[in-house]
Amino acid sequence: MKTFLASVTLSLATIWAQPALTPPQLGFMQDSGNSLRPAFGIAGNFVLGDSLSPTVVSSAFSGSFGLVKTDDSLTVIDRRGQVIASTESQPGSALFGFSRSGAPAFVYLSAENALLAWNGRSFEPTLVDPLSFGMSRVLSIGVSTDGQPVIVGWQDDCLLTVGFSLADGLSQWQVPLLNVAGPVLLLPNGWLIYADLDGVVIRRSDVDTRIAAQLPAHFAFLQMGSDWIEIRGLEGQAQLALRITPGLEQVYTLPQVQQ
Amino acid sequence: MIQRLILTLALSIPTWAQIQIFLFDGTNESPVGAVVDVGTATPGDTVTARLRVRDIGAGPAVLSTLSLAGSGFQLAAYPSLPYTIAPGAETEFKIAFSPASVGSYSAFLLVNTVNIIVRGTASASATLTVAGNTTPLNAGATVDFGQQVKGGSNGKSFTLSNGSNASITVKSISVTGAGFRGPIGQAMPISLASGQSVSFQVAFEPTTGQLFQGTLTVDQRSFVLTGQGLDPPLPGASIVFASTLGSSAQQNSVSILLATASPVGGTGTLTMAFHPAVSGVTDDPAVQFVTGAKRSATVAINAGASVGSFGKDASIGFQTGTTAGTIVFTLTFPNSTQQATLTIAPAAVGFDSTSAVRRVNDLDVSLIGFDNTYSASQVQFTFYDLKGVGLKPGAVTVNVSSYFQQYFSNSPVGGAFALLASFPVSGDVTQVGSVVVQMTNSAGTTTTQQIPFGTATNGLVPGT
Repeated sequence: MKTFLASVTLSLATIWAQPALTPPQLGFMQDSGNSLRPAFGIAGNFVLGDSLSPTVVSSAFSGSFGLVKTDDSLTVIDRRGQVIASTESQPGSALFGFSRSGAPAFVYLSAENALLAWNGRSFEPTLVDPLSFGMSRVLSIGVSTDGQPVIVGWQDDCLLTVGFSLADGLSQWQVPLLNVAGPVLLLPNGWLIYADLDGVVIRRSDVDTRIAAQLPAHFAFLQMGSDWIEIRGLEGQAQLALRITPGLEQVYTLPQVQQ
Repeated sequence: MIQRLILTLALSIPTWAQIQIFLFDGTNESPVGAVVDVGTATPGDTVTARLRVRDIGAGPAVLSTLSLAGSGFQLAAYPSLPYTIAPGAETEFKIAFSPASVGSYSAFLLVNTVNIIVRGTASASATLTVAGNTTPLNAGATVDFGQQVKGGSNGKSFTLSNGSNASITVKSISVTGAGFRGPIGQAMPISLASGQSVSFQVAFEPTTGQLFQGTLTVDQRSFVLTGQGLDPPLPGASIVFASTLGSSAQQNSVSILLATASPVGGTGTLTMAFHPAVSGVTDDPAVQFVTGAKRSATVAINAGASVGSFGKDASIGFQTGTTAGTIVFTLTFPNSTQQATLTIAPAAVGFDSTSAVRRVNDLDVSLIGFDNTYSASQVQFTFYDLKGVGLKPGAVTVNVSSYFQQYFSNSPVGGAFALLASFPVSGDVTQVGSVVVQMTNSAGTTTTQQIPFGTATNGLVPGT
């Protein structure tokens, strides 16, 4: 311990040698005009940066990496918005799943009913076919602790969470989501975000935390950072931001961007 | 022989022979013969007659002569001569009759070679004055009733006076035009003996907030009435904050309350201005409305409402930023301006989130927060073991003034900051359980709770 203490004390002179002060970044948000923008600041005090992409169809940001779908491309970005990889894509929306470390894992292309897997350099098709499984609509995708795809979707009148196997594309397990209706968002850590009549619910290991909020009539959940979820009004309303940090859960309003 | 001469002359001057003169009353034309009567005018008034010269021949006619000689008469609004008139076309001129005294008047009008006697009559009539002005009104004069709130009434008193030596009878007085009512206070006809005066009133009662125009007619003399209708003013308004506690990093909201239900609809503007209290700082971009334009919002007041509307909402949210200073809200209505201020007092550093992680050879402490004084000067780290016992040699203090000054000089987010402190370690980092951070600025010192160390995943620092 003495060694440790001496080391800490001795190394103080160098801890500030590298840039250690930066504008706090909550993540990225998709504004009402479908532009992707970095969101800076702290809770209740947001500053939106310049548009990185003006024609985004779907997007998500884990806190470390972002996945951005436009009508003709699927792109992976880093926390500074720099492109890591990009591939051509067909028009249509997409759902995204990140690993627990925040790395890209899966992309579900709704129009093509195709689940793609990220191999670290590019996306590859998988054998997983939610529609063949009987799902009429996929609402969110995630990653199981063993790296397999997890899909939340409607099967008949039941909302299910289904675990699939990448090896054969077959379902491995399924759990009905009782008393939950869309939209929902599955997070990398397994938490589930959904809405009820009074606001938003964060389900963590079967424990629900409810946050009162007035939500738009039609909206979608987008992961905008490790601690933030965008509640994106689909009819031009103000965009909301849900903080999911345990003990600090609250819904805020994101500043509107004049288009 | 005589007949042949006349015929020859007539044929030799076809351009003069093919014009015809008409008297035009604005609707109908009547051919003018050797005499034309322009009507009756009161001394001091002017009566205008409109005459038209038409080419009734097959070829163009040239109007080369137009003259009028006679007291009380004057040509007005005539074309520049010579003036060529196409076949079937016409040109117009006016004769103004302005008699100086009572009597019969005549003049000679010459149109090319056509001689016409112009007659007019000046008859005594009552002079009309409006209250507050002793100068008689000439026919066609405008009487302005000024501004009047709709639903109200603004009356003017008119006086008819007989300044002649004989009795005068005013047969009719009428008021026409929306927004005007009268005459009030006199029955027709009115007989005025020499030197006698009578008064009547005309009321201006606008029904909308627009410009109104009417006509007051006294026998054959007309006067223009004008008045500006006004919408009633909006009631007094006050700017009300959901929270009057001015502090940084807040989302607050503001609403507009009216003293009474508004009798009328209207719109105004609510603007925000931020005056930083930090020397050298000119603004904080985070101080803004969260909907619409950053610092300007339209306030709609609906008739009957006692609260202003921002779109569909009764209030509008705003951010207070992370810089000490004063946020000034200015509400501007067409007839009033209100201001309210929200003071953001200098405060000790506020932490939004904290986290700490162990790496193989490092301890990372992440602090996200704000310093609304831009004066952070010192950070102190105190490490604890897994049992919560402080590790010697105790607090590690770092002077951070220069780092923060440099950061704040270019900060795009006001006083918000993310600080990552990395401590290279050569010992067993797993023995370090938590850290407490103390941060000092000009307003005070803030101490975090014990921040437990976690294990970094994929090189990421939790909470950032």
